Amino acid sequence: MSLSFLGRSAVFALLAIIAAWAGWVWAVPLARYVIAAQDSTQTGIDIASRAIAYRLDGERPMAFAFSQPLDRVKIISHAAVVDAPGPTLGARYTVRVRLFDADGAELASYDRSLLSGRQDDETATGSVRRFYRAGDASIWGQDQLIVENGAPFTRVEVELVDADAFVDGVDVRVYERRPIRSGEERSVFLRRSAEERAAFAAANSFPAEMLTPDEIRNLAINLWRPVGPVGIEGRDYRALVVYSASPQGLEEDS
Amino acid sequence: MTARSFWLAGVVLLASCSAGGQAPDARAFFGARQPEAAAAQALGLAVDQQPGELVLHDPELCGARGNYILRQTGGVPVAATAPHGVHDRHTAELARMAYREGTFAAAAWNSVPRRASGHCDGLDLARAAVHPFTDFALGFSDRFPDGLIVQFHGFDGDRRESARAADAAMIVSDGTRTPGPGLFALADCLSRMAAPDRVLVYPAETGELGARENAQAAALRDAGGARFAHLEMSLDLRETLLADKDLRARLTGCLEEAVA
Repeated sequence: MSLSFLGRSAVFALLAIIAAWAGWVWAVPLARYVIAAQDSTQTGIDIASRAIAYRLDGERPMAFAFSQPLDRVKIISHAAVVDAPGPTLGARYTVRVRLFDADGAELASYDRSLLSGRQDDETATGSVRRFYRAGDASIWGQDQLIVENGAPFTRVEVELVDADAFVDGVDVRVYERRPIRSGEERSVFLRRSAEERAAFAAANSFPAEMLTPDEIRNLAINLWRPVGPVGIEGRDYRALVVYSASPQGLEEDS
Repeated sequence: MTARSFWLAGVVLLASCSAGGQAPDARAFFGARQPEAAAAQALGLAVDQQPGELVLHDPELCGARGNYILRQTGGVPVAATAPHGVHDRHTAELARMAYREGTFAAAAWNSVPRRASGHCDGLDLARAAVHPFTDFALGFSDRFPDGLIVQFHGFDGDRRESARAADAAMIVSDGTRTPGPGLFALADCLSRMAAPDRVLVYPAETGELGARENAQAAALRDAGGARFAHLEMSLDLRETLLADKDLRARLTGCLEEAVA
């Protein structure tokens, strides 16, 4: 038995309506799924934290001003590398740190050569530990400088003096000590989350729950907070977001 | 049934399907390509026709009401909204300013109190699935399926469980535990804006203020159209944004970039 012309037309019309309805309902979600799938290599990583870092210019120093005179400042830096050469210990670069007082007089200047170790780029499982969300550059090992000075300073300038040819850029983060009033150390420490307290106490022999009041006080007065550069982003400096994969991410906060 | 009557029935069926078979509702009004004042009045909204835009108001109740602005043509496909416009201090002003300065397609804010007082009932609009505010979000999504609905909220740092959240300038989420790359891109832009203060992404960086029960986020997910971004801002950041036009320009720039 064969369908009449009318019957065939009705079947085709029905199928066309079903196809149109399915396209209407599923086209946008399907397109989104495909777009998201293209990014799956990035979103599949368990992100623990993000931090802003500032790319050193190489042509001019980057200035950081502080809310109060300081006797020490912490600078965390790393090299961003594109097209790394074959076997190498790491990326070498030199930064110049200059300290100024409130009147603009230079108090001290230091040149420090650092080695961004290649191996720090990966965790034991082979996943990326720190990375940019976009672009080809990979982040190599992180360095930390604590710069101290007898006379208080209110401004720091950081400049990239030299770097290996394959270093695409050097990023820095600058921290000042978080001001804490005397007597508030314990409450400041206890307000941190359990993970944060554990990260801060990682250098101690005992877990955070077993710290003595003196140890808690010492940890609390050594909490740092980030400082941004002077000027306007895009004009005076360039800010980048550095992602940290779990479980190492929390160390970025200290 | 003759062939002619069969085709006639088919045409009638298709026409009724395309018309929806229903009278226009709030979602359909907010989703119209060129919303008309008469349709708004039919929904019981007070209309203030401005050049190129419709300014609409819900009936006032206990001194509070909802406000909606629809750009009648053009505009960046972003809706700046503030469901707790008064309770979350300055968020209504920020939504209105973002709409104007970012030339966004729409804005909505509501002054209804979250908690009951005296003879007035409270209402947490961000949890009200059946409300013109949710219809506004769904209509915007129908009108701009690739758009972004951003909700401005405010948080009190002293009420946060962790110091990380208490110290943050902003907590960003899309109402799910699995934010997509688009939300991270927005958060990165906002991080550069707020630096050195921190912008956290829920749930990767904080377990607080994730908008998991947000009614508009849930409705938009079900509808499958425009994206949703929930911005919880500290009071410091809200006050700074209110006073600093350049910083607001960076905020609206981030939202524009999110739909570019």
